[in-house]
Amino acid sequence: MEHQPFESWLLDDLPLTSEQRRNLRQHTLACAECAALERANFRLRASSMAVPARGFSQRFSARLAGQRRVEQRRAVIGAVFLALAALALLIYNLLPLLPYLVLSPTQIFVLWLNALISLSAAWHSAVTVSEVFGRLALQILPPRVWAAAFLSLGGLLIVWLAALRQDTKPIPLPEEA
Amino acid sequence: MNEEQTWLFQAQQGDDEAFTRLVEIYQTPVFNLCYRMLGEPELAEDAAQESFLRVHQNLTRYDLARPFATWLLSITAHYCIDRLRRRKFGLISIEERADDEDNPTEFADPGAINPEEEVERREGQQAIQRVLQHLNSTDRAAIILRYWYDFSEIEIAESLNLTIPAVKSRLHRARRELANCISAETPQPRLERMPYGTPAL
Repeated sequence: MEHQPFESWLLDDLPLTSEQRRNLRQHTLACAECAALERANFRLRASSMAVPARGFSQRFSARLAGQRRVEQRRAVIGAVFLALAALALLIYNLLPLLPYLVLSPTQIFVLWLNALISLSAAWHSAVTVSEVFGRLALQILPPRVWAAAFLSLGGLLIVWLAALRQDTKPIPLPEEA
Repeated sequence: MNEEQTWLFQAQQGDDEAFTRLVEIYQTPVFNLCYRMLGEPELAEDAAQESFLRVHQNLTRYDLARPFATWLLSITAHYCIDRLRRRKFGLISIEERADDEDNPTEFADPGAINPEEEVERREGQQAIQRVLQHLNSTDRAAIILRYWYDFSEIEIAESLNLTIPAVKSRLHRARRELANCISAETPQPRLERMPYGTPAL
């Protein structure tokens, strides 16, 4: 059975002229598929609005107030947590300085002086150790080996410089036609 | 500026009383959309309240030049679609699941005079509600917006973030499916003769 144009009319659910409606009625008497589509459209159009139980807006107001309370509580908890975290961070950073708070200015000065002396002593020790190691190295290896090492290093340096110069030589551009 | 826009403006400034007036005006359309989408009065009440809360939270983003009803119903439809998806993937609470197992009920019409007509109306509504549950959530939302709210295809497309051809095809598909469901629910008269029956004449 030919369903067109009735099926399209029903699927689009557009307003029909009286003649179209008459033709559709005749078609749906014989066509079960189009009749079902028409029935579905009719039932959907005939459906009413479901209404909420009385006091919906009051219940909403109560829910809104509850939501506000929850949000406020969350905000307070968040603020307290942030403050505690900031305090903990501050204490953690100040902890190394806390012993200095109980010392007198003279004691602090002496502490700083001690620190400077320790630094200076460490520097002198490092210099002495490096001198000793240097002397040891000179004594262990004969002067010929040192000379050969320095010469080979110098040769390598010259080769490297020559390669650099070769690579950085300007390349002449081809002349434009 | 009309009364509704005044309330909207006041609500945007933080006036809860103005927003409650808007809730009073739109409670039925929002509840109906939730009920048609979710199929349960208790779930619909909860979803409608939640939709209004979302609208309240996002009110500062609302553009007064747009129709409020379209915006409100769009938020509600999206909320219901999300909820149905969560239900589909089993991400709902035990209480909600328990509610789902109950049979859908329709509210009584206080204006009804004839009890027979009222019963018929209820049965018809329940049948529509049953067949609506066969559709997928977006198709269902499109059908509800079309038939209960007279939304045009353009409005449905805007509300559900779809293209107009997509809305058209979804509506076609949904109408076919609903027609099939209604046909299946309606007992058809048996016209063919029984193969082993005795002929009447």
